[in-house]
Amino acid sequence: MNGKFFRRRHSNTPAEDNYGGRTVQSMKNGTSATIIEIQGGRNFIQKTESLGIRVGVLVTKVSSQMLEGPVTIRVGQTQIAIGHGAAKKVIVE
Amino acid sequence: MKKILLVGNPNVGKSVVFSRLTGVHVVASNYSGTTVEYTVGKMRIDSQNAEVIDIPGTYSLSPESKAEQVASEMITNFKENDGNIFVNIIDATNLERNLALTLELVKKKIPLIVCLNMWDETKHTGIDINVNKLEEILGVPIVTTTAITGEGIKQLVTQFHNSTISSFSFQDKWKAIGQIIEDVQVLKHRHHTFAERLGDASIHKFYGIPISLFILFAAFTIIRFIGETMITYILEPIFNGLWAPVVMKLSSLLTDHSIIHNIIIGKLVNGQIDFVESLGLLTTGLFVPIAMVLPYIIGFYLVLSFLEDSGYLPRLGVLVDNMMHRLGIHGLAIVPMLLGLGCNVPGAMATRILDTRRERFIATTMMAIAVPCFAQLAMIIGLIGKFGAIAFALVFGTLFIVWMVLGFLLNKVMKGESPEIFVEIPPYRLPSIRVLMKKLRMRVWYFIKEALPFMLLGVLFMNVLYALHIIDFIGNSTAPIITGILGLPKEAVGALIVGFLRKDVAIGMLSPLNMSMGQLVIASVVLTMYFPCIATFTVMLKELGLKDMLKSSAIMIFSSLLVGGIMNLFI
Repeated sequence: MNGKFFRRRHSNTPAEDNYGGRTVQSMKNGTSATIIEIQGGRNFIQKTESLGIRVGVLVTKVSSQMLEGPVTIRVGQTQIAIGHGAAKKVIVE
Repeated sequence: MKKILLVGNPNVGKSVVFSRLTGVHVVASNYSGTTVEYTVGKMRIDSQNAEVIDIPGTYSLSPESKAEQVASEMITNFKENDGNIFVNIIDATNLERNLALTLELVKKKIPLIVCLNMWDETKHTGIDINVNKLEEILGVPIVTTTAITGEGIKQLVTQFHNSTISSFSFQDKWKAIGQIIEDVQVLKHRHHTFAERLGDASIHKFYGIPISLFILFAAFTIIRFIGETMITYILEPIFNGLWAPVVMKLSSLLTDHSIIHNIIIGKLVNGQIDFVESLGLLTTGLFVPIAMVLPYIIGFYLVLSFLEDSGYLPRLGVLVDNMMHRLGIHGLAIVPMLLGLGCNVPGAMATRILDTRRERFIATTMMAIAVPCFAQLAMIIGLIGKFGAIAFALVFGTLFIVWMVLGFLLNKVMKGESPEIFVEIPPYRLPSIRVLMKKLRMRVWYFIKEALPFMLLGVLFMNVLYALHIIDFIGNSTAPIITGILGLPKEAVGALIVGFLRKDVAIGMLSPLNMSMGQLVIASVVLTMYFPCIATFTVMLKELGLKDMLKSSAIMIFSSLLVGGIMNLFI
């Protein structure tokens, strides 16, 4: 219902910026951290999980694009580009 | 008939294995989602025919995109029939993630063979996998292959009748995978390779865009060089030196200005044939596809195939993602756009890598309206080349602006939202020359097979229309639009009619009309935008459905008149 009245550019509700923990978005390029939580719906979690982004896994931030562009991360042997919104929902230690 | 289904994550080399097994060549590239529709081929095992099916890549059996949906449905359907063999193809350099799908297949009690592909790459990436141990744990046959060189394919075939339903049982999928990895895989520490450094630089915040501009500039320089060299040194000499005398001889045998002469040879210009302006089957009908379009098609597909196989395209997608989001599609939509620049037909098919119907509608409409195919582009270059850079800038600048504005408006008007990019970035690979040439041959052959008949038909159709004065009649009745709004001579309507068959032939028809630079620019833009050619139309109808196709068509006709009209006011 909401979608009809509020059109959003991104499919993901932006996570609150005042969230205390560190997210993949706030990580520095070239650093690594362990994922402790993935916020989001069942579909989002399923999608991230199928690519190996899941709790307990070490994630390395490879690069980020300017102006809230996508973030590239490395998980295991895989490099993955995810949206800015998604990067905010992956909480790291 | 026995069926062999190739299942696996995107970009693990299923299509290469498929080509190896069947000898049927399919397009394979280095990015996720090259195969969006399943392909069937035949092979012989134990002197019996078997069907091999190349299924689009999927990360899991709960599908996300349309291509994944195709995969998931096929796996479920074919599971029911006995005797079907599932070959789970795994990227050996990426075992952990690939095992997720394997375990889903295991859970479904599907008879499996596991194929560890890209085996050669594990060696120089410092990955050591204990295959026997893995075989023991999963309880299904495992074969290591390097499909691109053909290594291991024979062993894979001999294992086909050993496919087994795995007895491996587990509670938590990822825990089980973690345990397997610990048991079978050892990673050696190693330094960053040059390719990895290059990979990081090409998606860097600051260097990424300059690198992409350099690559695009280099790409078009190479295409132009290949095209111009072939035309100047090979094709024009052949046509002018060898073919022209033959046609002139034939012309002297026929009565000038007779209908037969007009159709076969066309009109003589100053007593000579002019391969561009004569507009006959044996003159323009052959010259346009072979000597004007084909060289650029070869150049374009060589460069595109190289970019595809290198792994650059998803990175380009990441770089343009931000801008594309404002147009209602995410960065990966750059792939169908680039394919559309070769031919709109595969471009429209490739929109399947996008997740939602809304994105597919926006991307397909944008492409059909503002992305000319390379055949048309080559003709535009030939036609307006004499006016220099200004004319190019006007045509392609306008199309680019239309492309942007259209996406922006569609994104504003259409209900719904566009998902963010979510894509695997493959490692850079040096394309294999053999595979590259094979792909080039396939695509060029497709052009010759599909385009040449339509081009000849277009030239024939045009001559019939002229002979029966139909173009005059339609020209007169549509003059208020063609001349009034667009400022073109009324004969230009003939190009719009033939453009439905082939856009390149249509552009060629403008040549004898003695139009000014402004008129040629407007006509080139309008011909690109107003409607897709019949081949693209058919595919779009299939991909979008009737209702959306009507919507898309209305947007095309309206926007082409609007843009052409505005341009007519200013130039």
